[in-house]
Amino acid sequence: MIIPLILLFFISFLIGRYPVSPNEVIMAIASKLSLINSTLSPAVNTIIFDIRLPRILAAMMVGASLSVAGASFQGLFQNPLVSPDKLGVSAGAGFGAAFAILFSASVFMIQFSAFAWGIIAVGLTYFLGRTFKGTSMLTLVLCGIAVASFFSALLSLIKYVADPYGQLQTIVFWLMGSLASVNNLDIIIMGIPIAIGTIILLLIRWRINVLSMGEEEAQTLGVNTKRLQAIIIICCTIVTASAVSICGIIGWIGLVIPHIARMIVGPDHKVLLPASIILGAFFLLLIDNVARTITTTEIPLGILTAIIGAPFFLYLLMKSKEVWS
Amino acid sequence: MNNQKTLIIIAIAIIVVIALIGTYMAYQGAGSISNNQITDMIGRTVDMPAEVNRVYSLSSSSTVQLYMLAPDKMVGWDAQRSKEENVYMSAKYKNLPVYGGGKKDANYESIISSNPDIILIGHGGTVEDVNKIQQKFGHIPALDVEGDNNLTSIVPSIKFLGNILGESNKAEELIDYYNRILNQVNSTVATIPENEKKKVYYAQDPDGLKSYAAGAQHTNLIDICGGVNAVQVPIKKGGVAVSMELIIKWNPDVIITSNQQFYKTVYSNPQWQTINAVKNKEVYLVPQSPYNWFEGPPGANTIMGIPWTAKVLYPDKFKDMDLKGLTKEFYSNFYHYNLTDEQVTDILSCSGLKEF
Repeated sequence: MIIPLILLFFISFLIGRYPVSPNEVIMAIASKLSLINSTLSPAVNTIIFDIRLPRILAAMMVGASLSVAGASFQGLFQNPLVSPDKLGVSAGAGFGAAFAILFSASVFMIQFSAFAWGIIAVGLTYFLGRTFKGTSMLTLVLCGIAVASFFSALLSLIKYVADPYGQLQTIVFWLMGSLASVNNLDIIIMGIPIAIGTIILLLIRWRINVLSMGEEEAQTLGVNTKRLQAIIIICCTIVTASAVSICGIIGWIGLVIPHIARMIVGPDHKVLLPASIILGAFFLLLIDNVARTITTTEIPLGILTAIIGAPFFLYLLMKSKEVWS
Repeated sequence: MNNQKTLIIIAIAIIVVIALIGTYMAYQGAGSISNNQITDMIGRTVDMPAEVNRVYSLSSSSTVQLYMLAPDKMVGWDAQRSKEENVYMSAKYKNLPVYGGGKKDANYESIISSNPDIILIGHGGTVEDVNKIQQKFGHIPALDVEGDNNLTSIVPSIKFLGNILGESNKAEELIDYYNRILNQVNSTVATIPENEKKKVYYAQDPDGLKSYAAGAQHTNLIDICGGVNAVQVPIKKGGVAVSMELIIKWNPDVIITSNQQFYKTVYSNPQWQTINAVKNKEVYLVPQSPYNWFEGPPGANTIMGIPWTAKVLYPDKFKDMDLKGLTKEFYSNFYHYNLTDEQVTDILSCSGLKEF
């Protein structure tokens, strides 16, 4: 499973509007590692290290993190329809980004604001869910829906007052999701929280199995379900918010990829989570290669994931006899 | 409960620390030194190539200036051009490829493969934002241009571009045209008493219910030409949505619109019939080709809007202004298109002017 991903990783360096030969890629990498003195044009270096490399890494990281969060959430909520933005992280992040854009903030502040508001939205959902007397996971999802629509309303308000020729375009484009402007520094900033969240999820992946049997059953087995739920929600939120804050809102990955992974490796989270990570990375990298190649301008990633993801998902639903019980 | 709270707080704290380190690192990067350097309008020092023959602009307002000063150096457009906008542009320019713009859909690989000598970034935001874009272009210098999207502070941006494009004479010519018109309009406007100033509403969208508040750079022309923006609401800079009731209350003397749909329907729409501007047939459609004369973008293209708006607002006071001649001059000098007499008449009469 990991071999196609590695293959695609290398092939992706060769794909793009600027023609770069396999030789040049190898030369560029070798000279970067100071193995040889390269005679490559600086343009090729820029293309490979400042444009393609960060995009390839970002696509893989975002795909992996959205998928692992989706798989964990589906296990946690025992519900196949849950995606990582169910608790309001995307709506909050969208609001945060738009808010920063409205005040003409810098790129970094836009990312930070998106991240912070994504976390705040989920925090709100979580505490609302805990405050109400029903402590079931269903209450939490319902709170998530309410918080998400609250933040989308705030977002609409910002779009309403934004300058239609400047800010509104930026906001709308941000919401459609794109990896076009990701740079190497973003990868580091985003990579740390994503790595931390993903590693924690991977470490506790067998416990998600216990949770997916039902909260009461898990408690009788001696698992502190409340704490476990909180850890999963925090990790998924951090991972998703980091991805969203850099790349905008990219839908469908978190919902579709865990299903595909489940069809391949079965419902055991011990293997399902790693499988989701690899599949997610593969899928988004594939789609991003299309996004940056198909036209002379960029097509936002969120559009492509939905156009490809939704019909593909329906096709899988028709074909598979996957049962949730 | 407490346990979870602490966990969340710790998690947020970790994130904040990581983010702060990130920002610090972002400020550390950037900057190298060599011989042929230039300082761009946001204060970055950039290495310039020996010759600038191929240029790509990432935003609409700097594209306008690039097209005006050095059209043959353009390698592509930052945005798709409509059929309407292409009427007065020769095939040579309108058929250039579209590679997308900075805020939206820039395809960096497409741009680099078109092999530009420099990249222009119009009003690029903070130094950090501009550096981030620069990083995508590697060795190709990306220069920030400020003031390109504001008619009242546009002169330095024209000078700067003229300088880096090697077209200083053309830039001076454009600045002279701007100053000449502006002085004429200013001196006439100064004689208009406050209580005789026309109240102007700028209508956007097919329903005409979007506008810009007084003070916004998009409606600079109203202020310059001695009008009073009817939209007196506190939200500055950004666009505002207004209601029919407010427009009826404001009751503007003149309506200017960039929307053809609105222009076509306003005289027959019963809702607008009580407005003075509609009653007196004082609704005007902004000419659009090759660029909008009024705003969108609110840049060098709106220089042509100064005499037009002046005529629109005070036809009697600007009787001696030869709008036809000014239009022909502007188009042939800066839009590289020689308008025939019929075409000028067509442009001006389609905009709603009765005499020009």
